[in-house]
Amino acid sequence: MCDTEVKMENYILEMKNITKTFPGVVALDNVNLSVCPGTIHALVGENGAGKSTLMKILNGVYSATSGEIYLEGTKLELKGVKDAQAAGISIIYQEFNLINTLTVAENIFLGRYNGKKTVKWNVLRDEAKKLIESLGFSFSVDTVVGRLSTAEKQLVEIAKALSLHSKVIVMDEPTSSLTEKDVDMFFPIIEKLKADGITVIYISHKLDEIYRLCDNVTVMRDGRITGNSAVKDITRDEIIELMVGRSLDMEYPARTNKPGEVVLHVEKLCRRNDLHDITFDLRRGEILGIAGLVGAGRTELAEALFGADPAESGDIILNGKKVVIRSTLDGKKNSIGLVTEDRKETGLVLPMNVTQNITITDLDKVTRNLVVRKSEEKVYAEKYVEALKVKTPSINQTMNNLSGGNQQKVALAKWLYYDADILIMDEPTRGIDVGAKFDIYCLMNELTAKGKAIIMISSELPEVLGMSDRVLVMHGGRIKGELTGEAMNAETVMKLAID
Amino acid sequence: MNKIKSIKKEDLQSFLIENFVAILLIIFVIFMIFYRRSFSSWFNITNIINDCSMYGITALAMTVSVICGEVDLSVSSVYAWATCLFCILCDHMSVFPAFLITMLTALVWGTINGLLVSRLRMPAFVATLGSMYFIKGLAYFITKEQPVNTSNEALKAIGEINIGGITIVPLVFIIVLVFLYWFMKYTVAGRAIYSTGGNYEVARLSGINVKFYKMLVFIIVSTGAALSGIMYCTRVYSGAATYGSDLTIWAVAATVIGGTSMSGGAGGVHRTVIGVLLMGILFNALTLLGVDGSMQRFIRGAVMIVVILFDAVLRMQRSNKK
Amino acid sequence: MEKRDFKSKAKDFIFSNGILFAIILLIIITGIIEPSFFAWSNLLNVLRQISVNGIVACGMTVCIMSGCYDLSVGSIVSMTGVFTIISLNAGTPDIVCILIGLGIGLAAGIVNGTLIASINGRSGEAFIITYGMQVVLGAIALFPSKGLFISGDVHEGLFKTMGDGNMPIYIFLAVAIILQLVISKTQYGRHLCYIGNNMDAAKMSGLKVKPNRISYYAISGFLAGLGGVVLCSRVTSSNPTAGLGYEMNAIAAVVVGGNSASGGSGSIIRTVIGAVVIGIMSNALNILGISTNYQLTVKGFLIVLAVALDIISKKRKS
Repeated sequence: MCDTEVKMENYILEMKNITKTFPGVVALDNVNLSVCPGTIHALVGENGAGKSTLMKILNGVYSATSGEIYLEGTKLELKGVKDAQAAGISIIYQEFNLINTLTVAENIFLGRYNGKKTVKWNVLRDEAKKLIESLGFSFSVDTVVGRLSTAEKQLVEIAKALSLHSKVIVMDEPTSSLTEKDVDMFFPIIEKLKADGITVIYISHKLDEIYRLCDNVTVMRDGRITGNSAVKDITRDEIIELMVGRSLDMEYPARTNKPGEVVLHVEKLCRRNDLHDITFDLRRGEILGIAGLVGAGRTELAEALFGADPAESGDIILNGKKVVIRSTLDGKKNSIGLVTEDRKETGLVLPMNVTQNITITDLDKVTRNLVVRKSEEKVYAEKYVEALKVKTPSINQTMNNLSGGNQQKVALAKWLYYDADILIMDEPTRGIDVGAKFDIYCLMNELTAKGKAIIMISSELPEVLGMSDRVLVMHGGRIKGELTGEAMNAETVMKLAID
Repeated sequence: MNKIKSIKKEDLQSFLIENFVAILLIIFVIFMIFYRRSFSSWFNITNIINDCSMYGITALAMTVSVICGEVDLSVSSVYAWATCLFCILCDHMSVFPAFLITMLTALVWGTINGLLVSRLRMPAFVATLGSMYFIKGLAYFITKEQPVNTSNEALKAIGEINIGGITIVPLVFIIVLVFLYWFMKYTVAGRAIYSTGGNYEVARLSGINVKFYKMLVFIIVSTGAALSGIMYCTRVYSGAATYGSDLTIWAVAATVIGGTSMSGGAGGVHRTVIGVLLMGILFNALTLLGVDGSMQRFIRGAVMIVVILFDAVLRMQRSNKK
Repeated sequence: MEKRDFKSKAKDFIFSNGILFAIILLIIITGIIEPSFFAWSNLLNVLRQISVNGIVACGMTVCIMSGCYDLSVGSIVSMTGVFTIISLNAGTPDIVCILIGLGIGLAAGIVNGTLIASINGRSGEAFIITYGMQVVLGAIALFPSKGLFISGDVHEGLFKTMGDGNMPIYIFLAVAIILQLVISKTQYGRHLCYIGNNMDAAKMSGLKVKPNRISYYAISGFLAGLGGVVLCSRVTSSNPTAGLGYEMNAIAAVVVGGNSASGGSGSIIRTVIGAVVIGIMSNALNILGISTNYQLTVKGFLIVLAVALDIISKKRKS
């Protein structure tokens, strides 16, 4: 990777034989990562490939089950974030580590204040100003961070990393919520960091950016390293092959049925600043994929259709009839179900049991003479636990004790129990294992064969392409394009998604 | 040009909305000045200042805890406890050691509240509700359920200090104000309290000892309430377990009216001065207007509900805008 | 292996019921010191005394199950008492007086619920708003009589029977049985658990969260109103501060009985046990000559201890 004559000790950072297991899952399997000083090193892989886990180990958030980390040849013992910072490693997460109510200057020096007991605001502000200016920008360091744009917050995080005299800065998908214009402004900053001798580990799955920016690339898949190369020596297709690694038809069951007539027509749906003129059709027996970056308005659209955060204008026409959806109850009455993106926070009632989480959508079905019949609930619960292959010791098990994949199946089961005709699935396979994923894909096929219509929102491009009959791409709260057939490929989707 | 104008208009609008309650009260004050001549007399003004700075000390301390995202319901009991203990002690020793011991007990109450909240992760409301009854019962216990008086000469001398109508209480209020302002603005501990209230997780990940600061704010509130209680003793030379029952509401309302949001992480003790003055003026005016005690209680509760609702509505609006 | 299981089970049991044991111990000690304590007439007396608190605590259980507390119930008890007696003295028929009392309680509860649900308030906001309502309603109770006692012109009839003899006990038990059935058997009760555990998930499953939340405060207010009516019928007068501290007694009954302090689950049976145990304890403390004011300390301590044990036992489980 580095020039061949460079010896091993010349790597600035080495992670050797890193293994990390969570109960029941091997997240990282004997991973080796070596980074040359003063380079921009890309780390790519699909969601769930283990990139984030690896970086959390590097940052001291997780401790590795086994393996060693060397920075400039010295072995590191990282007990927490502070240790990593002291050693010269900083991470900029997708969700920023900033306090919205405090100023830019203070956020840069959060929790440190130059090691003294009192704060010298003049010094603090001057230094913050210098850091921001050194990045080539000049905005007031007295602004409250909550008022900044995403790109500006990004800058504050970089300034914070610089103030820590970081040698290695890890950026976790920094452009995922930036506009094209912001990205153009952002790249020179990263190049400047490189020119100043700082090493950057750049996590992304946007190949364009990697070719534009990075020197070396490491590819991960399923908790392993599958490839290592200088960017100039590897083609796009090779990287994709290393990332995906298996043929698509193995991973996704074939779609067999053909979509029928239109069941849902959405016309010019608008809401505040996050949805603009959304117009599309959904057909019986169809899986409609919605692709786009984080913050493109996909979840917002789902919540508008379901009534969780209703649209302000525009029409929703269901089976030829205009309907008004002002609340989640309206959504449900119109036979729309939403499997939310965060099953723990909004999808399930974790302290309650499997049965109660399935029957939550329709207790009328199991109520006789005002009493909720546990015996009838049991019948339904057992039916869906079996149909969805939910692995649980009993239907009376508390949801807390189930694995992510099985929790997700229950979150889905409650809408099957309700028999919703239109199912909106927001990130249906996030954070669950391959087996459970395949089960859910098969189930989606079964449902559409029975005439249900599915809207699938997903950030995993292969999944969207592998499962959908048609794909809508969203950006900035608008639908940027509709893709079918040949046009449904990663490049086109990405082009539309990034704008 | 047009753009600049419109931005300014928007700023003004948001300023008006955010300070709605305060503006209403100021209008009320202007009305009072013209309606009742006695309202703006020097005598009445000093009266207001002397009165509101007593509870004001607790309001300043309460502001610190609200900035950290917590509310302490036990202040009313700590206040009552302090009046009782201080008066009892003053009959047995001189003022200063009595003062120190009383403050020390407040420190203990604060530590207990703080430990329950920070270590055990008990919701602050439940923890301080429990300690509110606990401490009140103890206050009854040490006074044998009767108000206690003190005839300590030194205390009387302190109480009689009077400069142009202003007693020692506003002076103490200003000292506490200056100290807490400095503490919250210029010390690392103060800034850590802001960070902890602004975003607990981020603060923790930034290496701030969040548990310690959660505990510290409860100590600050308790000592503030005890100091308020002692200040009351310099005026009435007596203590009773029934004193200060309206203190919690008064202090929270003054804090939020001043502009420190219940969501935490923002605001400042200096803002609370406005809230304290407005609360003081409001209730003084009500008394001048001949509004009876139960009606005043009613208004106190209503003001509190209104400011909390307003604060919540503002927060919802802000998150919607985003 | 089995032995250890038994041991940890026993520990769990003690953690979730520890306070009950401690109080039962106190009761036994009192019984030994003062044998008349266990006399049937004394126990019946205790039940009569706790019935008002018990009725209020049943409503509080619903609120706590939904994840929020209602601190205004004490003032509702006072307020309904005052207005019931006033309307009685004005010569209003008994049934109308009772309905006025219940209506006032219900209205106060609906105001509480509407304010909290409209700002989508969590436990913190609910605490402060109901605390504000405690002050406001307490002041309203003071208005008509300027804070003085009003003795009631109580005559034979429906109103008198409500507080007569063992009637308060029957009312308390009827309320408890009905509410227990509603909570454990009906959709309404199940929805209460969903909302108490995870309001957002309940909303995303198509439940009407806001009207439900308002109804929880309405129940709490209504039952506090009922408590107020029974109380003033029992003492045939109204005292504008009669309900002082009722919110604490109610919360204590709920959490000491072993209900979760953070909501999501609960049972009226536990609350009834809690109310009875606290009633007997108060009685025991009275017999031992400890005044009601000092008992504040004991009850405050019990609330904190009960909640602390609840938190610890939850931590042990997870």
